[in-house]
This record gives sequence, C-alpha cells and structure tokens, in this order.
Amino acid sequence: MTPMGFVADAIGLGLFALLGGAYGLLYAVSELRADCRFARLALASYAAQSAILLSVLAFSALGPIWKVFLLVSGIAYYFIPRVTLRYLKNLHASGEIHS
Amino acid sequence: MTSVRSLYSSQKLALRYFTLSVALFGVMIVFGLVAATQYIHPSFLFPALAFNMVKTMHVDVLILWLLTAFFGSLFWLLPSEFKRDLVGMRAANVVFWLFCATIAAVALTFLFVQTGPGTDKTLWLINQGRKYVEEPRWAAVVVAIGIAVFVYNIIGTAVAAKRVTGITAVIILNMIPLFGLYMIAFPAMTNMALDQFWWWWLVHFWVEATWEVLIGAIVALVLMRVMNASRSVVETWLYIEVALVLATGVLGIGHHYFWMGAPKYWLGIGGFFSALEPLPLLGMVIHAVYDAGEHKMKMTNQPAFYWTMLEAFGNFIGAGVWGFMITLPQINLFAHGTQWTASHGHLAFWGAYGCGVISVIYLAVQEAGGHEQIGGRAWKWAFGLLNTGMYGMGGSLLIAGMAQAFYERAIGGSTFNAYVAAQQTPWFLEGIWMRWVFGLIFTAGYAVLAGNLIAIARRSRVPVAAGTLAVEGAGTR
Repeated sequence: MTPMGFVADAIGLGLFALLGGAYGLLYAVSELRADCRFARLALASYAAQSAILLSVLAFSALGPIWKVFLLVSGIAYYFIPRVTLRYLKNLHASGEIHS
Repeated sequence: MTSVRSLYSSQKLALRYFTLSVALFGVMIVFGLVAATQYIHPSFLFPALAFNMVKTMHVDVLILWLLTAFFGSLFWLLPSEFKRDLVGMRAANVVFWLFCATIAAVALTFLFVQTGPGTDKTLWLINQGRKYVEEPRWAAVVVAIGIAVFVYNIIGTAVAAKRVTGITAVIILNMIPLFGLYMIAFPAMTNMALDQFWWWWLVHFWVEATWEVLIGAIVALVLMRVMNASRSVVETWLYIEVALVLATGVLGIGHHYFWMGAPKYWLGIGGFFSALEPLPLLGMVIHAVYDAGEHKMKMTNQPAFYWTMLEAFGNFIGAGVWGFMITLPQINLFAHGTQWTASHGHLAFWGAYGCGVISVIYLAVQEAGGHEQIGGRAWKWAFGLLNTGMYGMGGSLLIAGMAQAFYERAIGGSTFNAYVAAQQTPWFLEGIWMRWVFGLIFTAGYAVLAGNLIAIARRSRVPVAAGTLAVEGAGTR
C-alpha cells in the first residue's frame, strides 16, 4: 500500500459510510413525507456511495477478502433503510393496537 | 393540575449528580483547552501543569462527567419505572459525597504530586498509570464501592417493587458487567501485552457495550417522556439495538488488539466486526427520523428532543463514519495513536454519550421545575455552538491526524525524526490551530448551556414537596 493509496483508501471508506448514512436518512425522510424529491436525493446518495465503492474495489490495495466484505456491505446498505422502516411501521402499528 | 411538585429522594440525588456532571463537563473542557494550547505553545503553564497530567485530567474527567450523568439519569428516571423510590438512598447519598471528595483528592494528587517511583505505594496513593483508570488504587476501591451501591440501589428496588419492565430488565442485566468489568482496573501486570489485553476489556466493553446499553435504555425512557412514545415500541426497538450493538461491538474489541502483541487472528476478527459497527448505527438514524416524523415533531421539551435526535446522528458520524475510516488493519497500521484517533474519540464520545446525557439533564430540569414546555433561544445557541465546536474540532484533528499518519507513518516509517517532521508540516500545524479555535467555540457553547440550565432551574414554576412527580406521563400508552 503506497502512502497516497492509504490516504485515498481511508477517505474512500469514510465517504462510503457517510454516503450510506445520507442515503438512509434521505430515504426515511422521503418515505415519511411521501416526497419524491427526497427519494431522488436518496438514490443519488446511494449511487455516489456505489461509485465510491467501485473505485475502492478497483484501485485499492486492500486484499480480496476485504473487497468482498465491502461489496456485501454496500449491498446491505441498500436494504437496511427499507427493511428498518418497514419493520418500524409494523412495530408502531402493532404498538398502537396494543395500547 | 396540582400546584405542588414532588421529588423522590433518588430524584433529589439525581439533581446533585447532574450538577456535579455539568461542573465536571466544564472541568474537562478547561483541561482540554489547556492541552490544545500546549500543542501550540508547548511551554504553556509548564512545569506547573505538564502535558501528560493535563491530558490525564481531560480524559479521566470525560469518563467522570458521563458516569455521574448516567447515575443521575437512572436516579431520575427509574422511580417511574418501579413506581416507587429507589432503595438504599442513604448509602447512595453517602456515595455521592464520597465521590466528590475522592474526585477532588485525586485531582489534587494528579496536579501536585503527579508521579512517583515504581512501587506499590505509588499504585495505591498516586497513580496506577493506565489510561482512563489512572486514579490511585484507593480511589478505584471507592469507585468500586460506589458502583456496588448503585447496583444495589437498582436491583434492590426491583426486588422490593416486585416489578421489572423490559427496560429495567435490560438495565439490571447490564449492571453485572458494569460492575464486573471495573474489577479490571485493579491488577498491575508486568507483561504489557497481557495488561493491555485485559485493560481493553474494561475500556472497550464499558464504552462499546455496557455504556451503549445504558444510554440505549436511558434514551428509551426519555423518548417515552418527551414524545409519549409507546412502551411496547420503545422496548422492542431497545432489544433489537442492544442485540445488534453487542453482536458487532463485542468482537469489535479486536480492533484494539492489532498492534499490542495479541495473536494475528485478531486482525481479521477485529477488522470484520468493527467494520460492521456502522450498520446498527444506521438503523438508529432511521429510527430517529421515523420517530420525529411519526410524532410530527410535537414535543414538550425541544432541547431534550433535539439532543436525543443528535445522539443517533452523532453516534453514526463519530463512531460509524470516523471509525470506519480507520478500523481496517491495513489503514489502522498508519492511523492508530495519531490525532486521527483523537478526532474519532472526540466525535464518538460526543455523539454516543454526550448528547444523550444532555438530553436527560434538560428533561430533569423541566420536570423538577414543573415547566410544561421548554424552549427559547438560549438552548439553540448552546446546541449550535457546542456542535459547531465539536465537529470543527473533529475536522481539524482529522486533518492533523491524516498529516501525521501520512508523513510520520506512511512516508517516514515511524521514526522519531519522522514524528518531529510530521508535527512541523503546515497540515498538522493548521489543524492543531483550528482545533484550538473550535475548542473556544465549544467552550462558549458550554457556558451558554450551563447558563441555560441554571436559568431554567431558577425559573421553577411551582414549589417542590412530597408526591409522585416521577410517575406522570412515563410512557404508559
């Protein structure tokens, strides 16, 4: 790993997580407000996160196991907000019934 | 509505703990500012205040202000869960004053004695020399007794009340590792690798396991009061969060074992599990957004609500994003122990714990004072200044730390010359300067926060007397 490569990898990983968070936040807001503008921004965040992921996979000196791990993480990031939000809605619905 | 408010004796003690906590928060900031100044002017206040002791005070008081706030939070919130006062309050009050005296004595020892020869006497009376638990052994005994009494206050009350809710069950289970792990503060092993191995059990598992569970339970109780959230929803989500945080956080301890003599397999285990840690934190962000939307941002205590929300976001940013940058072993090799790590530490502690306990303190001053609503402008200034200061410090330290990792480690090969050279690069120097500037902004935020809390407490609308304040509106939906 070269000195510049290490810095680029670290920044790439930070952006990867940050954009994943932005996607989750914007997706949740778009669902709650039923606003397609936020949905588009959410998708843009995920697209940016995927682009960062692809560049890390292509250019990083990380080993193949870590790259597979990052790829699986990237896919998981896509589903976490959807699954979490669906679960929360069901949870709140059942909570209202029980209260 | 009755015009007379009442406080349980545990809640009166909670207010004392909150006062102590806010005061310690201020002490931590003062020593942080002194340390930040010494990075720019190394001779500042030297030799009266050497950097090593200033840093020790800064990080030890960090633990103390949060720990005392946790104690206060549970003393404040739990009577509503148990529907009664907590047991053993006389002992708890003694422990409080014992803590105050011990903190003062240890601080004076650190400031005026500082170090001693490598003997048992030094371990017992001056300094144990292990980061975060430097307090001399006699003081560690006092802390252990204090925690034991605290555990008794909680478990004894559950037994006496014959009532355990989902949240209190989580808190009670959490008391066992909270006390048990602190026992690691005592041994003084001569093998550094072994010593570090077990010491990380205390530091990592307190911070990334027992404290995470504790703050999760506290935030659950706060959400029920501030937003009248449903108990069944809050409890279910708490179980999920606790399970996910523990699933990733327990073996995530491996990221501390990379470079201290532990077996090589920790590189893979630590890297993998700690890299998973942002995922449950992302779930918490979604939950925070959903709660805010579900309740249409209607709340009786704006500051408590916003600080609670920020806890989810701050935890994701500080622990998740900043942690993810440096947690893989290939990168951690260069980044560990630099200002980059300090940047991560500042943001993670602030997001995961600082914001949460400030939220509870706002809730307590509201309920103690009988205010139906808390709002105004002062808390917004405090919120803005504190967060601008903290995220500014995090960003500045990140730049300084990246310069260190790049010039000192990756290019210079970690030699002493490279260490000195890295500290003279413009990136490092400007980062350290900017940290100092943002530290001043943070200090201004603290002043506004403390002033706002005092002003709210003084504006109490109704007198305090005997009664049942704690059971009102505590998530009974």
